[in-house]
Amino acid sequence: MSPLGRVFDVSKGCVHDGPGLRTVVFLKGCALGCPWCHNLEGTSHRPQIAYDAALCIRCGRCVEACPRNPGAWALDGTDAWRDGCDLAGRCVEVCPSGARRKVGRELSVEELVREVLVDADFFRGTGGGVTFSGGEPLLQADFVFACAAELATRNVHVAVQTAGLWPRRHVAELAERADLVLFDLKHCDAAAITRVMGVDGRAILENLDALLATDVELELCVTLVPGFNSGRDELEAIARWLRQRPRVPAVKLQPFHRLASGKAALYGTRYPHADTTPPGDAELEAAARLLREHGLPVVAG
Amino acid sequence: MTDQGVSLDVSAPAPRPGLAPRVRRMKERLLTADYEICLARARHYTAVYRETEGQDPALRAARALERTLEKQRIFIYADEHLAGTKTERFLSTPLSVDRGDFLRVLQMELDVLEKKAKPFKISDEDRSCFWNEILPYWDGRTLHDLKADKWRRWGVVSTRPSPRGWRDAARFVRYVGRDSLQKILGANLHAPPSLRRLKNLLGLRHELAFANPTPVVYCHDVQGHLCLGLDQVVELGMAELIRRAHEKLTRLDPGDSRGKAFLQAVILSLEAAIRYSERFAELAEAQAREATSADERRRLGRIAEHCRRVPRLPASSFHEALQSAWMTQVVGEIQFGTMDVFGVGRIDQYLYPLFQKDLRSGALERAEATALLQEYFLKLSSNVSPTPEVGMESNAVLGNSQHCVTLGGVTPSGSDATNELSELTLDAYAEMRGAVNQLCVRLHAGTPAGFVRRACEVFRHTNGIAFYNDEAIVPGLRADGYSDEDARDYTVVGCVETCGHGDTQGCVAGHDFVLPAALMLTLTNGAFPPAAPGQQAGFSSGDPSHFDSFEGLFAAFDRQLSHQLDTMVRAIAGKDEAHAEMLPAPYVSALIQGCIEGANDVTTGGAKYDFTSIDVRGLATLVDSLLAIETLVYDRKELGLNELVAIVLDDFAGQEALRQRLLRESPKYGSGDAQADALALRIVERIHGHVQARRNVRGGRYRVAYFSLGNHVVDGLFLGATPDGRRRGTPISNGVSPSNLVKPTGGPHAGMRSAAKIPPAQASSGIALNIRFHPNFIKDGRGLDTFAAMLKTYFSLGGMHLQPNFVSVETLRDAQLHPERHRDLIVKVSGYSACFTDLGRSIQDDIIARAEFGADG
Ligand code: SF4
Ligand code: SF4
Repeated sequence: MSPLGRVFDVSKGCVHDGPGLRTVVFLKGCALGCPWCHNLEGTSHRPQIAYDAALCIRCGRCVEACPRNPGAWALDGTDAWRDGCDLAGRCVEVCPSGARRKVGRELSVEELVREVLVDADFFRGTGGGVTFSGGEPLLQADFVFACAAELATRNVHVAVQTAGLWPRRHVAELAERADLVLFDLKHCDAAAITRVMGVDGRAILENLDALLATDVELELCVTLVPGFNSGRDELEAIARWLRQRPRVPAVKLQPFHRLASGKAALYGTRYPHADTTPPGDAELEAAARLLREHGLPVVAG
Repeated sequence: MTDQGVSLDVSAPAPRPGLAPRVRRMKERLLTADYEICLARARHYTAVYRETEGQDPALRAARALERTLEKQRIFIYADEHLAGTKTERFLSTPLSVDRGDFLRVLQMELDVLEKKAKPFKISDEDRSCFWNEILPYWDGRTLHDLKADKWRRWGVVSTRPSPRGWRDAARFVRYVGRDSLQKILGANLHAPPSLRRLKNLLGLRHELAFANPTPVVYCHDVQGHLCLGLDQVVELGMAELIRRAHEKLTRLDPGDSRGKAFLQAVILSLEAAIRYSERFAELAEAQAREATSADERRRLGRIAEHCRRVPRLPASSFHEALQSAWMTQVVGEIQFGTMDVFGVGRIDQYLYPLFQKDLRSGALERAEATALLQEYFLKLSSNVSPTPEVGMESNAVLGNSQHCVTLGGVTPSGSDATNELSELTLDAYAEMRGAVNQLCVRLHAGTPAGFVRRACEVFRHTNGIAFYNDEAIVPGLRADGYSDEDARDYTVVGCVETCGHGDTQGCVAGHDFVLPAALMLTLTNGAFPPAAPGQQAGFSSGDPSHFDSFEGLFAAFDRQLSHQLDTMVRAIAGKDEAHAEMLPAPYVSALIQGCIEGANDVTTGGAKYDFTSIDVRGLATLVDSLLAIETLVYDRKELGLNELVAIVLDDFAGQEALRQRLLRESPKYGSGDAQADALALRIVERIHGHVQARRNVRGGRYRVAYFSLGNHVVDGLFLGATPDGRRRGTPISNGVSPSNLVKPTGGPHAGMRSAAKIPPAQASSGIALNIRFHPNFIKDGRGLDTFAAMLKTYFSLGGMHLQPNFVSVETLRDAQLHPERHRDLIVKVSGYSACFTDLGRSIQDDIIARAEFGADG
């Protein structure tokens, strides 16, 4: 039986996640705890219930439909309803406005492939394709590889965007199945990664090394986070580290952005970086210049 | 037309030296000038028509033009290298009081001109001249009156006795609602009360119906909206056209008095145009004598030299060709009056031979050519119409009479037409940023990739361009009866209308059809929208209680469609007969192929090709509404049709949950849903089916177009809620674009795919697909390539037209807050381009509400 994927969004018409016009498939679940992550839907493996107060028309149907004893919660603007929520989504079914959404659905390979192939004409015309992102898509490697194999038979370009923390055995298959790997590199200091994200930083860097040893097309995405990796020393360290690799991949710089601070409210969480100012164009430009000076091919992001 | 093989060096980026100082000054002057009313044309026309009662209408038209060109004060403004003014004010427009539409507008709004959302200035002299001379003469004598008379006699409108009339008025006001009414009346609400005003209002109480005989049908007074044969004038000169007219006269059947009068009128008009140009030569010479600097003397000397020769003789240089084209256009605009909307055609083709010659000989530098083109853009944009207040919600004032420039595409013989001048024009346009008039870029399979990319790149600077697909459009024009060569030589007129080059009386504008209103009439058996005073009683297409299936509903809708299109055709016949009887256009005709040859005016079928277009609006709103009904009423049977209709008529009061479900739970047009697209095609096919066999009074065919200028906003003001969940007073959908109410989950290309399915032969007059992108989409080379590839893909699927806007919500909001900082921000509305800050608030909001793609990254 083909594996099922846990998907939280299929976003069509994207242009910044690989060549051409793309459909980005966001998969749920990530082992890293990047505090600036903007895909909050991606971090948890389980489905979630999102509630968007801006869309809500206060009709009360969700409260009525909730199987927990009636009156257990009210539309009082608090997140009290999350306590003891079974995530089955009865409220979502009755919500007329889309204010309540179940985020995360299970899809078979066939279903996903059918859904993305709607755009086969524009993929062909623009040299675009499908990008698997997340969360961490390779936590559902079976699903991603099965989809990629299927898409390959239709000549659809496949990119995989990864944060790099997964079992080493995926390297060969990833290199074979993906036409492009977009590797999010946060830092080249394993200890710093471990400190901030609470995971094994060395494993990430080793996975990157292993990928660099294959011939898969690779692009590094460095998200500039003030106070973590955007300083001159950190950037220079990244550049030096990369120069020592067997091949130097293209580097794309992108500013961390605060999109997530709005999203956090939908999930009843708080976004810790809500007060950090994202780097501006000038800072990005300066960082790009610095990396270029160190001989890295920086592409516009 | 030239048929030149060209090689393009696309690798070298175009140098962008920045605007020449004189162009910058001219642009600044245009963007900051007051809007003014000038009644010079009106005064001279009034005098001549008074003197010539009972004479041949073509000769009267020619004499009135001649008098205006003789007497109107003329100007050569600072920095100008191309001479030719349309009015006696810097930024104004020749008002066609003889046609009557603007006579009525002034009658209604002369007292509030300064209070309009976009104020107009008028001199005291002109003001009293209007009340004392112009209005008294023309009231009852205009083309508008003649049309209204026919409509009354034919029952196109109904002018019921007063008690019914008052009841109608009250019902109409209740239905439209207070907010919309305020927007419709605008500054009129603040007019000082006076006896004169009261009298005018009583006289104007049926005025709405004389443009809008049913809630579905608009038929305004204009014809125009065509492409004059400027290429002919540039290549041959007007003297040659006069010679041809004389020759035709000698060969004319002696009994053909109408033909004789027409040819005499042609000769008079052309001679008057030549003389008008000579007046500019004289003025330039006089000013040159006074000039203090050598530069000034040179500038004025050149103007004098050019205006002595052209448009009489063939142009001998690029500069002279532009002068010739501009003067020819100016006179056309004076004859037709405002809203002429004459496209200037394929300038990169007919100006190319002289451009190339001058460039080779060293007589012309690229920078000079660029500055001349930029001055030409500014001139084409420099017109302002005192649109009635209701139009102010949806329209821009500056450049409202849009004069499109067409570039690229294929030559008449089918090879690639893109050349060096196409590129230079693109670059000149990008550098301008803020020229209002629209650049129409034709593409075909063989357009050099570099040119496509460069055209896309222009969006980094301005949004004033749109793309046209020869592969889809040319076959559509052939199906309309164009020869292969003429079809390939098409140009764009007005907003998106495809039209022959100097050979077509297309009547592409002024006939608008509001689909969602037709649906509401179907759902209420003719009761809603209620007839406004003077409008026809609503047509009963069947009692909705008996529609027991979707097909039953659709059949009734089709009956309603057929009735409304029938009314449309009769209304147009009234307007067209009135043009033929009263306002022939000898000057315009002289510049349209077929007219001199056949001794026949464009208004009586003299043009080589003759059509009438019907512009259909609100396709997505209609499709989404029908599918919402199908889903909830017929499939799920959750509520009865009458129950739903009652809720809709009540603007969803207390039914927000149901409204949300209507918005979300059924298939939506333009979102990648096959069922919705199929229904859209079925409707397009029905509309085409209903008009296909009909002919206009000149024997020409009907064509269909789908675009809406900004008028989908006005439609919304007059329309209560609709079953797609749209609230009362809010805009309907524009062109063939998806509704703003629909979340665009399919991406920008889903809308393209839906539009591409529309068969060009069923919408051969044009479609407008409007998609808004965030500028991030094309901020780097990769994004630009992707956009260019999307465009090509859309066209390879059969799309006819695309007008993207690359502007973010943040910028648009900021422009609403600080208009002065964004004076030259250009956006596309639905069809035409306009300065965003010059647009009415409602249409600004509509543009902001459009889905935005590509913001991330
Ligand atoms: S998903 Fe949670 S909140 Fe919604 S109905 Fe179920 S238990 Fe209640
Ligand atoms: S059902 Fe939806 S719209 Fe109604 S109160 Fe609950 S969240 Fe709000």
